[in-house]
Amino acid sequence: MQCREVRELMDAFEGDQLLVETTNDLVRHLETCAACRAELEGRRMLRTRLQSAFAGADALAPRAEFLKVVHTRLRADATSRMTRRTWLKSWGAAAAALAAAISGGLFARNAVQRSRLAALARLAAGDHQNCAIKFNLAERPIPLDEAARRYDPAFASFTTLAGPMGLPNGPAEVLDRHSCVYEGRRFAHVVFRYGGHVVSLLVTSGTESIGSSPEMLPADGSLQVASFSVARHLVFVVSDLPAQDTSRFAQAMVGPVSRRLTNA
Amino acid sequence: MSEESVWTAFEAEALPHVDRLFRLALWLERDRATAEDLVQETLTQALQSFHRFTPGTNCRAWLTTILHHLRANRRRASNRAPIETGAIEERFGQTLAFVPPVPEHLTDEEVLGALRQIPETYQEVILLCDVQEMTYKEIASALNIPIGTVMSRLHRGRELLRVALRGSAARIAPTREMP
Repeated sequence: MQCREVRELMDAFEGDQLLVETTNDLVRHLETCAACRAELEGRRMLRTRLQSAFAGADALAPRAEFLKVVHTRLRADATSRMTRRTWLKSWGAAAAALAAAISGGLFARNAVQRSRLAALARLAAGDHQNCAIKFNLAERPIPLDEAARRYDPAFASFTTLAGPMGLPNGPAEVLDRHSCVYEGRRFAHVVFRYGGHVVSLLVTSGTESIGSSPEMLPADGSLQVASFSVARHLVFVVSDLPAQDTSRFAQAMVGPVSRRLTNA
Repeated sequence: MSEESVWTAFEAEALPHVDRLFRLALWLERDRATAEDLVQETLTQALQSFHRFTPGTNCRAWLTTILHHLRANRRRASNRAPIETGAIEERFGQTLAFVPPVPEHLTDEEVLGALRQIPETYQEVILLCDVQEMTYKEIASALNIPIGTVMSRLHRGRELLRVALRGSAARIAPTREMP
């Protein structure tokens, strides 16, 4: 692949729009061409600059009063819908009892889901510790392509996942990408070095929903786990960095990871 | 799901995106009152349609799509011209013989200033992709255009942005050598 071709394909590469074979050709070219690597870095840097300029522009910020009013109006709208629903329900105690049962069921279901998420966070932390730090897994990791063919097609999309840009402790370097199993749970695992620490990004299939914004979950020992969910997958970022840095790292990965999983 | 649960889920999933949604609306509309009205309407519609949102998918993209559809409807209703299309793409498509590298030293104001210099068609896709972090598929759905058009607009828009940025950089460091 020639530099000219690579540069024409770079936007599509960044948007995960290339075929796997073309992506591999492009990645191979990047490994040997410093000029194209610099071009790609420049494009990523511009993207990060746009994000930060947009997020930091005081002139574009919403007024605090507006946010308050929006919240109040929406809440009132929701309440009025609730009131209408309550009136409709008042025809019989049976309906109310049923509603209570459903509500109780939802609460119970949420509690079960939180408990499952906490257990998965502990598994992710265990995988990070035993795979990325101690190299002590019972089963040898396999390439992501192979795991995509055998277990989860979405894993193929992580073969080119790069580290997040624009974080306060400098760039994150990819140390390894593979698929591994910890206590029976299979993950796509991308290992980064960031700010002198090893950071794991672990993706596993799961229907539990935690939302698309990273949330810190309880983990064992000194490890921090941030998690978000997208397209029937759960994503965990695990490190021994402070919680705030782990959360920031996870936040920076939401876009690239979501794009990959949604398009997979 | 009960209405209370809907509100709780909406509050957790949708409301954290209001800041970004508003910034996008204000950038596109250039008028604070119009932007506030548009965002308010977007959120009201989103709350009413929240049962259609799939948990675990990109809520910000979902809200942005609603905002764009409302905006397009408003433009049609007020007989304003649709956002610039093909002719501009052709015009700009022919003029770029050299795409300069991204300057290293630029302020936020210069980055946003350069973005303002390029046609709105291109600003929009760049913002949806690079700032709102939407996928090509999501952008295509929000703007009602084919994915190929999203890709070509992004490509051309980013080139134009770099030309505009180069102008900003040259104003800062006029003696710097061009590569």
